[in-house]
Amino acid sequence: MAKNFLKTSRLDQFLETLRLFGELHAPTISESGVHGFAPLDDPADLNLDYRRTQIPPKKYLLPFREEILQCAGGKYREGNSGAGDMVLFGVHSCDLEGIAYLDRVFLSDPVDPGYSARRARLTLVGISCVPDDYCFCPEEMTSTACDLFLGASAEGFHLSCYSTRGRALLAAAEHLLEEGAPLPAATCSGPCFPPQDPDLRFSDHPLWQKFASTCVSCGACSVCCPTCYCFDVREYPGLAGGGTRIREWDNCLFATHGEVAGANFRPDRLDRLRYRFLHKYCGFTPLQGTSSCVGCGRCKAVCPVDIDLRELTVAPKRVQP
Amino acid sequence: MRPMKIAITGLTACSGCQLTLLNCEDQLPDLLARCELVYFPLAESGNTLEVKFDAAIVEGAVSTPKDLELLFQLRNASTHLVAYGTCALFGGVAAMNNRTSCRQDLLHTVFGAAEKLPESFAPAPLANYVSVDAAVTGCPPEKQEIAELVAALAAGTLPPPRSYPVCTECRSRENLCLLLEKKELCLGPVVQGGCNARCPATGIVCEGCRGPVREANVAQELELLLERGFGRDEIERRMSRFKPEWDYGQRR
Amino acid sequence: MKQPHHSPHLPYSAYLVERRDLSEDTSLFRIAPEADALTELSSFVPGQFVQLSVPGGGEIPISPADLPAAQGTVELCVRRVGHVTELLHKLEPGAQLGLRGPFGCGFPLDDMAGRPVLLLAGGLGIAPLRSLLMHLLRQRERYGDITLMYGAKQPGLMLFREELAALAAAGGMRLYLTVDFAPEQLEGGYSCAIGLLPDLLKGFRFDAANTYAAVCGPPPLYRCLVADLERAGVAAQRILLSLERRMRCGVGRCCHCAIGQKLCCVDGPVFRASDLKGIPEAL
Repeated sequence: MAKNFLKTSRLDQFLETLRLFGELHAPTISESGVHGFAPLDDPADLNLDYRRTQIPPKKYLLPFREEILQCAGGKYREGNSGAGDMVLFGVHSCDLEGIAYLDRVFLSDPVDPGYSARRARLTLVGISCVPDDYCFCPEEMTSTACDLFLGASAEGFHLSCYSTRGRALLAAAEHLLEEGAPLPAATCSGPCFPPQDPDLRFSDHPLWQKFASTCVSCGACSVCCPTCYCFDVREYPGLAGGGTRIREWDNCLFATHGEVAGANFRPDRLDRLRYRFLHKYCGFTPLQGTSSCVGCGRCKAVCPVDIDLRELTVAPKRVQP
Repeated sequence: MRPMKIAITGLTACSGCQLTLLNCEDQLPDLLARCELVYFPLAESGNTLEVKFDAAIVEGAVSTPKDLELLFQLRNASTHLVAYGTCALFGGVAAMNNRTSCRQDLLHTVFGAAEKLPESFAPAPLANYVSVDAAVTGCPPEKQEIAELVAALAAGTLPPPRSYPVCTECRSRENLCLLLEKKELCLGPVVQGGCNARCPATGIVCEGCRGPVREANVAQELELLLERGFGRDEIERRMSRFKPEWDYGQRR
Repeated sequence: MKQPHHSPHLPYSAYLVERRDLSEDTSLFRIAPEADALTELSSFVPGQFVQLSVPGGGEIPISPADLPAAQGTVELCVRRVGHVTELLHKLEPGAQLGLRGPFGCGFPLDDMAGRPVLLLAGGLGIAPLRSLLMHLLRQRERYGDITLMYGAKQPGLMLFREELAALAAAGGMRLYLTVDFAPEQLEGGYSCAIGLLPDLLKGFRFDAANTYAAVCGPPPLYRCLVADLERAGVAAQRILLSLERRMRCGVGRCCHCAIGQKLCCVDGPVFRASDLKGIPEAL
């Protein structure tokens, strides 16, 4: 029997131990009632009973807006990645899989310097969850894409570690743990909506036209998606000379996304929805054949007009006479 | 480098946009190093219009013959004409009742039964009369955006445009969605972002002060608001607060 | 100390050596990058692109108009169309610039060896094809017949006209020029047809079964030329298209340049027409 069980009553002490490994961030509720990951100054602010945060943890690795270069005297130099040691506590399996997907994009050659600096200093502590109607993950989905995972039960949490850092966390918290029953091996499910046939984007499904006409291009679906990472790069000259080059989250449903000087390769919203379908469910080089949908349900939850692209993969419902 | 010769002025407007520029305290020393403010009646005396400007930054809508005269003068004297703020771009608050009110009645209301009323016509954006080279939207514009524009003009270019709606920044800031969660009359989906969702961040709906975003799905926004129980009149009144004309059938 | 890994975002520094105006709005910029950049550029294959930074303006993807020369410079042919190019056109020799690259896949030179090559350029599309042409002519014995067909709107917009005429006169290639219309009197130089590029192709007799065709031009040109070439007997896998997209990052992440499931910055910008079948948004 290994010491791998944390009683609920010792959770606060456990969180204090986690602080030894970096600034502690965890799920909380804002004043206006929005769920989000935020610095956990007071353990009383912890909200473990959450379904989904509005913005996924990608914000820690790929900030909404980031200065990537500074320019002075005609020469460019890199911006500061702003990375510090951080422990992100209470992440659901879907979001862990989301980070695993982003890792494949940003840690492949050539490694993205800002992302990799922040990723290297981020400790991930996952936690099991209870899906709601918006979730579309397989039941009992458990991700191993973290340092430590907490499986919740009535009395406390079963801890499983999946990395060297996870073992270090466990060792540091050993005095708080008890012997628990051995855990069944976790099943790493990966992205949980299966890859789709790219040709489906040209199907005659009537929902394509409907979505194209109702989508307001607000950008919420991709802002809130744990695996959307398209970004724009812009440079602003400074008043004192020089300039700043930023990158900022972009959205494939904006008119500018497929533009070049004098032409737009995705001129209509329908073209852009097809692009979104293709990127989400079929993958681009080198992730062709990979679906990046982790089943968190955010896109459906935040869409003002109830667009759910997954509906395009099933035969249209019979129209009622 | 020769400093840019700049004119900054207002037509029919509240001067709020010009004040925003004056409030850029951190940037003013750099701004003054790059620009020679030849004509800026709000901020200094001894202004002259008898030169060629590299840029004229013009706030406000056009609603009087005097406005028009000044606008033509600046257009002819300037390499770049910048529509500065929502009024200059879309007509703004002064134009909100353009579709419903008669100019003559308004003049009588303000000036009573005076014998000679001032000449005035429906407030309109600069682009209705002259060609506009660059624009900074907002009521008032964000400090950062006017600083970006002046910096870009000084560098010989224009700043790259932002073309996302208020919702994009609003969601990214983890605000509560006032349209979906509180069923309020929020115009975020059809309004140009760049303000970092200033109002929704404090719990106030987007009133649309920055004008329409590119390819705004106006028809769907209208449907969304009607579904939430707002009347067509109320919606149109709100939408026209900063821009009198919207195409309510527009989907792209 | 030199960093072991150069950040993929960070441009190498470079400066503008000289600029030659080719038409009213298009100029050829000769740029000298620092030594480390030249080392990276030594692997350049015609058709690949670089990211040119104009400080304070931003970055644009450009396919060099020639191979990086022995004297350590890169030639970029740029039309004034947007914020960044506008700024570039205002610069004086000596001005600081930034350069990243080369990126993407260029022309499949090994596959093309021993075969006739037909280059079809429309407008500014001559720029990427010029670097291919220079390579072909420098290794002339490695390839079969070389033919360049180049179409421009009008004679004043025809880039590199004298230079191309001189190359053709030297005997290494055949050159056909055409303009959509000729408002001014055509003066001296190389003779020039009036008509569209597809018209020129129609009357052309060539060994279609063995030829590699390389096409670069504005979007509508691809659609008709690919069909014409296939009709003439050139297999789709031997029709090479150099495509234009808004590459932001150059390393396959920002996703602006996606063409179907492919990314123009990684899989392209040179594609085989056969790889683009079934992707309507490609052309």
